[in-house]
Formats: sequence, structure tokens, C-alpha cells
Amino acid sequence: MTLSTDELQFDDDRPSVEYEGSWYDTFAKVVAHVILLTASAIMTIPFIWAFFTSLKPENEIFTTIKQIIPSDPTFVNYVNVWMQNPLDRWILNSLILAVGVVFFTLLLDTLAGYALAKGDFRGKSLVYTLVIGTLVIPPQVVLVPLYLEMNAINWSNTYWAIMVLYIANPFGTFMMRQFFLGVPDSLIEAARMDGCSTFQIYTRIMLPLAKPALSSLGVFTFIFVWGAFLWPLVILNDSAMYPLQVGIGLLTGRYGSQWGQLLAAVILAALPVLAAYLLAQRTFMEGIALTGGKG
Amino acid sequence: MAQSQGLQRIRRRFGGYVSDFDVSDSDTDLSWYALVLPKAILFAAILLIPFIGAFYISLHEWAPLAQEHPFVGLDNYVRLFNDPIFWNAIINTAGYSFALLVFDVPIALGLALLLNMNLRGTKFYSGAIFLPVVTSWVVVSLIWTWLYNPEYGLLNAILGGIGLPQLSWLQSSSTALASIALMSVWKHIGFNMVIFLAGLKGIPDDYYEAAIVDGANRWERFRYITLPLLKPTTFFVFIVTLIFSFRVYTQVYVMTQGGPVRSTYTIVYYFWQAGFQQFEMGYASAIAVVLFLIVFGLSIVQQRTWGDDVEY
Repeated sequence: MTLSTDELQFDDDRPSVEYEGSWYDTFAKVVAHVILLTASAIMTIPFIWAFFTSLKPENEIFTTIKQIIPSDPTFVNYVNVWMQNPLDRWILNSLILAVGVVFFTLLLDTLAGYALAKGDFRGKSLVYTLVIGTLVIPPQVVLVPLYLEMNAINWSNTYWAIMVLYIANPFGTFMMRQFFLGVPDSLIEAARMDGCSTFQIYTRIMLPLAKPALSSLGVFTFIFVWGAFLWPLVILNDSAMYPLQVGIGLLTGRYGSQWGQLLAAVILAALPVLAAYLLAQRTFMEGIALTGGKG
Repeated sequence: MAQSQGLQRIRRRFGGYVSDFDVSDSDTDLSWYALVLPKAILFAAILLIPFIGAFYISLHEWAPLAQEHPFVGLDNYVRLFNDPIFWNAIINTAGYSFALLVFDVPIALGLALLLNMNLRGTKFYSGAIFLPVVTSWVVVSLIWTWLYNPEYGLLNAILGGIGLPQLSWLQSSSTALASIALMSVWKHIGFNMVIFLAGLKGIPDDYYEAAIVDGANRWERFRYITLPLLKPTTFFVFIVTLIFSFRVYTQVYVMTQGGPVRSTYTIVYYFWQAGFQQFEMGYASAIAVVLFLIVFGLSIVQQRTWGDDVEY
């Protein structure tokens, strides 16, 4: 948990310390390449295979297993699964949830993290104890009472009911506090001398400084909420409110043998995050390295 | 600022607490509360109160629509203790976690070491290996259900192609849990790899350069520099993987629904079934409390062992 962004340079040009240049060195490099290439193949082939299968017409899927690339690719499975299920609504639900949670997480966690790092107020250690204490609670433990609580205030089947659990996650607060602790006090004192209020210091100094940490936390929170399954499944009983993951997760029963359509839905569900990942690989990895302890 | 001067006077009147308070800062004192309160209220309403509520509900017979929820003391826990399905779930979850630790952590470390050699193409390799991490559990579970398909799946096609016996994967009670674990290792390895990689990048180059000057060979540098300095990261990865793996649920729901013959029932799957299928919320809460105690115990071990490395 002491990782910092500086430690994670994936594309740095610093020279390798393995500069012995002997035949042994070359051999080691070849072996390393072979292993890494194999691992990369094992990681990507399931996606590629699922994608090619989704392009085969339903009757061809079970007759042409050995022919991986379809001879006559078609999007008919995508059209069918889209027509038969409210996929557009599920995607919209997922987007609203993910964007909402990211927004509130970044806002509330930077505010609270700043106050806990630099503030001086009664009850500070109590709040901090709460952050650390709730870090170790597996989210499943609160689901039954939270379900009853959400029903009691008539929030079941709302976006809020789903979002609150993820917005309440203490990890971002912990992470932002650690980050702001590293901001020198002299910077804050100087701003205060210039007449900045606590809130102005937040908007003019803390937030701009925290940009790298914010993008990491934001990206990771987005993946996390985009993949959320159990809590939405529990709190929703109207299928129009399903996020995409819950929607396609429940398709299996109905699509027992229609693998073409099922995999088309799966590819659709994976695409947004995969596309974002290919564009900003480094930010994603930093997000994981920084927020690795998040549940 | 008149208002905050008033605040200072109040603080002075109320004694001890004020003395160690930096007066020059106190004119903005109240605004700290405005910053921290929204999150603090959320913690209390969404995590803390429900957390206490879970203990409370676990001591009751609690059907959600019933008018009354009779107090039953520790009956739910006694029932849990004597419930073979629950013990089966514990054993399955432990087995799953064990498989993840044994395969995921060492392979992730190995891959991170290879990537840390700064070979050409490192960015491509790390990108590919990390790909499953960003994909959701539902997506990879569905893809792997198709890979595992006994008749039409890729895995059996490969096994058949190289002359090995084909497996029934998710459809046999002897292989279903192992199949889910194998998929989870595949999905999760990039996550640990990146954390290991960050740990490796945190070891200063000077150490290695000094060791090379001193004539240390590759193995000695690994044994006496990399391994000891990577120990905190390794332990962190180990415990976090363990804690995560105890929450296994989505894969089970999507791939096997706990079957065949409950061979993939896990703690959280049983919790979900008791609470949100049978609507026995008291019993489900008892399961949740036990899950908490297990994970809490593991967290304590983590903090004890991490000691100075964690800035709490």
C-alpha cells in the first residue's frame, strides 16, 4: 500500500542492469521472450476465440470448431441478441452507475482525504479509525442489512441504492489521504498567507496536484463498478434496471444452447472497457497498483 | 473574521483541547467538517450501521416480510455449525483459495521478474497479460463456460488434438471447482503481476549496480537483493489474494450455480442463497458474520506481519 506512481514506469528508457552480453545472457532473453509470448497468447486467445465464434451463424458454431476463423463472418448474432434483450437500456444503466460512482468517489474521497491529511479538527481520529475499520469489512457482510435499509427508505430499484455501496467504499479516502500527506505543508501555509480559505486550497492546490492519483482511482473505480454483479442482483427486481453485467449474467439460463448470441452479448459487454484499456494501458495498470487493496 | 474569532474564544473556554491547537489555522476550523462530513455520513449509514445490523440480525429469525423477527440467540450459529452444506462451502472456498495462492502468486512473480528485464516488447506483453484483469468476472465466466464446453469447447479440442483424454470440466463434481479456480488464476494473474512489478521497480538500481561491481552473479543478486526487498510486496499480494478469494461468488453463479451436486458451493454463494433465495436473512447474516471473522483474522495477520511497512 506504499506504492506510488513514480515507482511504476512501464515504458521508461532506463538501461537494463542485465548488460553482461554473454551467450548466457542471450539465451536467458530468448527463454524470457518465449515464456512471455506464450503467456500473452494464453491470455488473449479466449477473447479472440469468443469473438470469432460470435461471428459464426448459429448452425455453424457446432460444426466448425476446428475452423477458428469463420469463413463467412456475420453480425446476425449481434442483431438478434440486441433485438431480443434491452441491451441498450442495460448499457445505459451501467454507464449511469459507473459515471455516477466515479464522480462521487473522486469528489468525496478527495475532500475527506484532504481533511484527514491536513485538517485539524475534533473527531479527526475517529473518522480515520472508521476509514481503516471499514476497509477490512467484506462488502458481502453488509448486504442483508443494507438491503433492508434500502427497502425501508423505498430505494430498491433505484440507481442510488446500487451506487451508495460503492461510493461508501473507504479505499479511495485512505488512498487520497496518503497522497495528500505527501504535499508539503509549506505550500499550504503560503497559500493561506495569500488569503486562501481551506476550500480554495482544496480547489487550487490539492486537486490539481492530485491529477495522477485521481485518474488512477477513477479508472479503477470505473472497472470495478462496470463489473459489479452481486449487489445489483440482490437489490434490483426490475430487469429494466439491470446493469449490463447482471443482464448478460442472467442470459445463460435462457440461451443454454445459443452460444453465438450469448458470446455476441459478452463481446458487447467487454468492448467499452477493452477499448478504453487499449487507449490508456498505463493508467489502468497504475490504477491497479495504487488501489490494489480495494475490495 | 469575526465568526472564527468567536470560535477561538469558545475553544479557549473549553480548555485542554485548545492548548495544542495552532491558533493561526483555527480561522478555517469549521470548514474541515464540511469537507469530511459527507463521506463520514456515508460510512456510518452504508457500512457501519449495516455492519452492526448484520450481527443483530444474525441473532434473530428474520424473514423480510414478516411482522415480527423473534430473537433466537445463537441458534443460527449452532445451526450453521451443524450444517454440512456450510462446512462443504467452507472447504470448497478454502480449496479455491489454496489453488489461487499456489498457482497465482508464484506465476505472477515469475512474470513480473521477466517483465522487469526490460526486454523489447515489454509493453505488449504486460498489456496482453493484464487484459483479463480489466474484463469483468461475468464476461470471463461466460467465455470460459464456452471454452470448457465438453463437446464444442476449445480446451477439449486441444486435449483431443494432442491425444490426451478429454475432461468434462464444469459438468463433473470432481473437476468443476478446479475448473473455476483455473479460470480465476488466468483472470487474476495480471493483477498480482502489476503489484509485483511496482515492487520490483521500487528497488533502486544502485543496489544491483553495486552488487555487480562486487562480482555478484545473477542468482546471488536475486537471492540477496530482490527477494528480501520484495518480501513486503509478496506478503501483501499473498494476503490480498487470500482475502479476495474468500469472496468468490460471481464465477460460481454464472458458471455452475453451485453445482454439480454442490461441488462449487462457496461461502458467499451459500450466503446469497440463504438470504436472497430462501429469504432466511438471520441465517444468511450468521454466514456473513463468519465470513467477516475469517477475513478479519487474515487482515490482522497481514497488519502484524507488515508492521512498519504499512503507514497506518
